[in-house]
Amino acid sequence: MTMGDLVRQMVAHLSDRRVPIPFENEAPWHELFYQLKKEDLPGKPRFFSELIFDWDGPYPKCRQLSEFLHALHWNACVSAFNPTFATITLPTEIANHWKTETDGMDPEERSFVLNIVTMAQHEFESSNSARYSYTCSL
Amino acid sequence: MFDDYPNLSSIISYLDEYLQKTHPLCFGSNPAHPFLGLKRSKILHDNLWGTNRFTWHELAIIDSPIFQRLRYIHQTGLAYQVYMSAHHTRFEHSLGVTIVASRIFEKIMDHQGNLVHSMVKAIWPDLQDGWPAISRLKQELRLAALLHDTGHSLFSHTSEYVYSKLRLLIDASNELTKLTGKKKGCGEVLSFCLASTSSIKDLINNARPRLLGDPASDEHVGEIDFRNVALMIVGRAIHPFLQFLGDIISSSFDVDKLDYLLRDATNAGLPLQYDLQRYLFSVRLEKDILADGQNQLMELYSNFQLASLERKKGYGRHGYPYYEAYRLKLPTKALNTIEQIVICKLMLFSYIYHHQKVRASEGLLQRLLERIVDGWRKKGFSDQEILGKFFDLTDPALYNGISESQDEISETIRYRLIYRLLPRETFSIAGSCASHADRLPLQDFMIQFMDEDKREIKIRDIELDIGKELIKLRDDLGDDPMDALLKAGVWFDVPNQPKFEDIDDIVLGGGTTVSIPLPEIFPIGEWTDAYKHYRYKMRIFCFSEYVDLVKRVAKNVLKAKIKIMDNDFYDKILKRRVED
Repeated sequence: MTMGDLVRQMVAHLSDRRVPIPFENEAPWHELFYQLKKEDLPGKPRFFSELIFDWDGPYPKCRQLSEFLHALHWNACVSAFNPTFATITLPTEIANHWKTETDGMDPEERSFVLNIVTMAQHEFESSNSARYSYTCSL
Repeated sequence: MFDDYPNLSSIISYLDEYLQKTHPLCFGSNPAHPFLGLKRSKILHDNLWGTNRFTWHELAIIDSPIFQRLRYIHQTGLAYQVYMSAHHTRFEHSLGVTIVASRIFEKIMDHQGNLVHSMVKAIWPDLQDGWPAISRLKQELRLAALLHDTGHSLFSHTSEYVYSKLRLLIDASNELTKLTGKKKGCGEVLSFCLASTSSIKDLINNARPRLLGDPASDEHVGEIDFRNVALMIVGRAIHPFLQFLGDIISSSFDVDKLDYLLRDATNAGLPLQYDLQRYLFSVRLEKDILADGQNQLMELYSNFQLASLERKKGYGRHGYPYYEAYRLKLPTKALNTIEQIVICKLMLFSYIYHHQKVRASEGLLQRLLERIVDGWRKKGFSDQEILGKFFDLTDPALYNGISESQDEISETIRYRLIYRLLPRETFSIAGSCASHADRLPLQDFMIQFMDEDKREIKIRDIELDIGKELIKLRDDLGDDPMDALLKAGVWFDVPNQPKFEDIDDIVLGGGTTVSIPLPEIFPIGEWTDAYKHYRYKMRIFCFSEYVDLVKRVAKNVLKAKIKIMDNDFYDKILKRRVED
């Protein structure tokens, strides 16, 4: 599994769960992937050991991840009905199509993907609420 | 600084040996250069930035072979085969970058000179007076700007792509990434390593005793810290307070971009502009956070034993250790300039960098260079020796013969490049080509090439399938599918996407729009995504003689890969000439 495969799976499942998927503010994505790189989780794909994070700001940032998120957005989301730039809005047909790939995975990989989706849901929802409270305090 | 970085050390040592062997007059054990007394400064005229003074430190480097060779490396590679006046080189670009870097530094001093002075006093508390150290930093910044492209070889990024596959350089770029805490490419590795050689320091040391005129006219006297110069080239500095110097040389809105956008547009004859004066008027330093979760910055800064190096604890939700740094920022009131720069970059991608004939000539050159490198490998050349060969090469080598023993295929490619018998675009695929029904398979197809870990394999898959079909249909293409592709000038071209993702990093609040998020005022995401959706193209090229054959073969291969069965789609992506 490549990083792109995992991101596609995450976006498809998160869309299905109606979780707002951050795009304009990429920080939650990078924070999540950095935590995943550090943690020892069963079924974790090998690409994590190769991921490089830049320490050039307030949080670690992986350029490869950033570039893929942008590619995903202009490839899959620009043609979505009413695309937004705050979040990734995946057309339902693409989400459903990508989700079918999960069924073909071996059980350990599949369980990893579904765990990560749940972790991402928490990370993204908490970062949304943190952002909201910050905006209100302005 | 390089004890734990064997590949960087070995490249630096090799470059020293290479320079001393290749240019003994300048870098040998007893160099004769400079032959005569050296002026303390000279005036140089640039077509973009006008009349400017260069110091003797810079002149010592400018007059050396490592910089003079940049005169023979076109800034925009083979783009002059399309834009006939785009003959500008890395030489004038590097001088231009030095001029713009200097202007930014001077404006910062005008606006925030006292802040910089207090920063310098905090870093070097023993100094009686901080101003000489500031003039030294300015000189180091200018030298970093001057040297930032010295690692380039023939036709700039095309050769960079080829030598970036050398194991030695891949390992060295991983080491540089670890050293700086930022992902660094192979091109930057070479400029960084050159700036770290003793040969460069010796150029300055040899020039010093031969200087003419009054030392009082020097802006800076004293030693240059070439470690700081090398770090600036890769977007760092010796202390986090000085991070803004690294930002000036290498960041999302660095001096490299500020020069090349205008220089490329002007020399190609495109009427694109941005307002540098407004940029200079607005640019500021701002305190910011440099998180250091993997301790890379701690290791880097510990090399220099400077004061006020406080590593603080617990930033953000994840509690990363961090440094406070001063960074280059633009207030939102300077948004017009940022808009102009982004539009300039988008237009240049559309007009020049992604122009189909520019892609055709550079793709062909890339294949020629890859074949030549394969030949060198077969002869047993080491990565270091191949690197040395790339340092020998500049653009005229294409016309004079790049390698001593080129085979027939390489010679044919070289002939075609010289006389501009370039491949033709046969298929051109953009995200917007798909009808509603075709959208899903096309998106699925295109997204594979955006996945860095799959990209090369997927491209090779398509090319190999086309090659296998070609040799079945044409005897004159031989029996090796890869050779057949070269003979027919066929490849699947997937350009890099234009990137603007770091724009938020440079923009501060300010003016009347303080509470409005940047994307609401300036929808950069919408612009760049729309550009990519409609204008970003993947293409199949081939030589004119093979167009009809490749059209048939490639259509079948694409059909199998994209999984769109409707022939209308392939009619839409097929490139036709009027008579077709």
